Amino acid sequence: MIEVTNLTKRFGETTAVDDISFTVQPGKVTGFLGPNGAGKTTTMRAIAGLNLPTAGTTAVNGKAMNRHASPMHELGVLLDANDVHPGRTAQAHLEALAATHGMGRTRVLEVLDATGLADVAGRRAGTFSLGMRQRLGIAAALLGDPASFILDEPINGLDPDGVLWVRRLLRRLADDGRTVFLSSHLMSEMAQVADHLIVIGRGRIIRDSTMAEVLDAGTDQTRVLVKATDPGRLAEALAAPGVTVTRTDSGGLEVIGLEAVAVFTAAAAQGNPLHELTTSTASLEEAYMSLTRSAVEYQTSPDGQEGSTP
Amino acid sequence: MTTTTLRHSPTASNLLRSELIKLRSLRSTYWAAALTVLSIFLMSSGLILAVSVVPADVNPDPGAVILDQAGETPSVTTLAFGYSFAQYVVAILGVLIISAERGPGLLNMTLAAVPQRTPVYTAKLLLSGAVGFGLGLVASLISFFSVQPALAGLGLGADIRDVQSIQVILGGSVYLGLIAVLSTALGALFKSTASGGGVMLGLLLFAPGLVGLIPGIGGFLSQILPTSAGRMLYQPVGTVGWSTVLTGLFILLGWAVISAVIAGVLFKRRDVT
Repeated sequence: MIEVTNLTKRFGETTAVDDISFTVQPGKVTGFLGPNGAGKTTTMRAIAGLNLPTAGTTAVNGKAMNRHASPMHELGVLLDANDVHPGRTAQAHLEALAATHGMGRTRVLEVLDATGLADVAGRRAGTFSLGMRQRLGIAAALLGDPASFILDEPINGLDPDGVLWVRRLLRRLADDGRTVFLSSHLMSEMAQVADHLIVIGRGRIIRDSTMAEVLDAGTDQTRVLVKATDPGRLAEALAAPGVTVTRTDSGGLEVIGLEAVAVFTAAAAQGNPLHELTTSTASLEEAYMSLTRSAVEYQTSPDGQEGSTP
Repeated sequence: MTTTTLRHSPTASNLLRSELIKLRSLRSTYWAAALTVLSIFLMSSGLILAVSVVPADVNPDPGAVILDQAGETPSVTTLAFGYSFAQYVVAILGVLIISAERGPGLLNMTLAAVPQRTPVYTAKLLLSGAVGFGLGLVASLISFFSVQPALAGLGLGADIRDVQSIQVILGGSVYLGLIAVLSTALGALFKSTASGGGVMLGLLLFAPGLVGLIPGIGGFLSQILPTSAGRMLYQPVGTVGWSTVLTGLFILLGWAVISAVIAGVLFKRRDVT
């Protein structure tokens, strides 16, 4: 379990993370979603003990990281796949990390095998592609067989095989009862893997709920795309409070706020033949955009309420 | 992945082994080590070996040349030439022990594995000091023994069991070890190899010439610089006396301990970057 309590982190004048609190539960994959610069990495580095909080606390499995006797067995960390010395072989890199906790070559060979790097173990990390470095970073996180994981954008740079492999790995770790906390700025990626979602924007938590709830919230608006013989006349007929009609580039209409049946009935009533009638639900990306957009609006509001600090 | 890993902790010996693995798995370590040994060997035995191969009709009295250049005790005096050159290589190696890890971001991985930080820092200081001392010792012994046949032929040889031989060789090696510790502390204090190495080279190379120019205290300051203290430590005791040797040792220990403590406190308290 990972607990973040009233965490604030400032870098000089910039507040990267502003009084955030959340808990990452074991047995689930929890996604940490937010645009670049929202504070994901800062938060994760604070959890790992690399950034010291300006205020607030972080705890992994009940204690701050620097209070654990065997830190590698508590938390596996992948922050940046490039955090390797380019001149050192993959195996030597892992052996040096493993040695800090008295783990030997056997364990290193196990994780090299588990991450598909066994064949390139003797190659220097500087020659690795980003995808291979991600695997090496994941191998390092697995070394201590820890109860919790934080992984910052672990899917970056992986090929489709690798993406699938990471998803299955994360699922297996969570099914084992471990705490899995991973960040991404891609909603679509999160939808594939996360059970729970914490959305951060401008250093504040915008949303902390199950994936299913986020998806529901994103699909409450149905869009109807329609192409009519006389789009202008149809648009007039559809106009009503709570209904938005916009012309699309391809000469059709996009209707929000009405069901497809209502659009069809209106067109039929005016004898206006339709060429095309499709519905689409707001995509995950759009749900995410609307979440973070509201965060931006909230943040820039000059007379912000809900205890926003200047 | 289902393997049950025994729970071990980052003990001192585990951390030293980890640091040793890091040091051994980089080519630059071997280059620096070779350069240290070679520089001590060439600088210290070069004069004697060169003089001893010059034909007698060109230089009828090689012993006089050596005495003129290296004093009464050439076996050990010449080692000083080597130390004063090798200190730069050892300084860079000492800075690299930590800065080569910070640069590529590897320090994130290391300190995430050992969030207490200070044990990692201490292991690096110890290893750095041991490497500096070890390289100095090996190079000194090679140099010492390689010039003995030539010096013995001139009646200028020395015994390795002499107190003075031991004092110079150990003194020089301790000097290089403490320079390495000081460099690693500066490597922890500064964010890059360039700044850490730059400050260290400035301290060794330029400070001796510059601080003497400060009115009033310049003379005193130049005496307590690491380079001056080092010379006190590895000059033959027969020439300078034990009080000078010990003063040099204590000044150097002061430099190493004070810099290590200051850098260590900041290393623990600052964000890892």
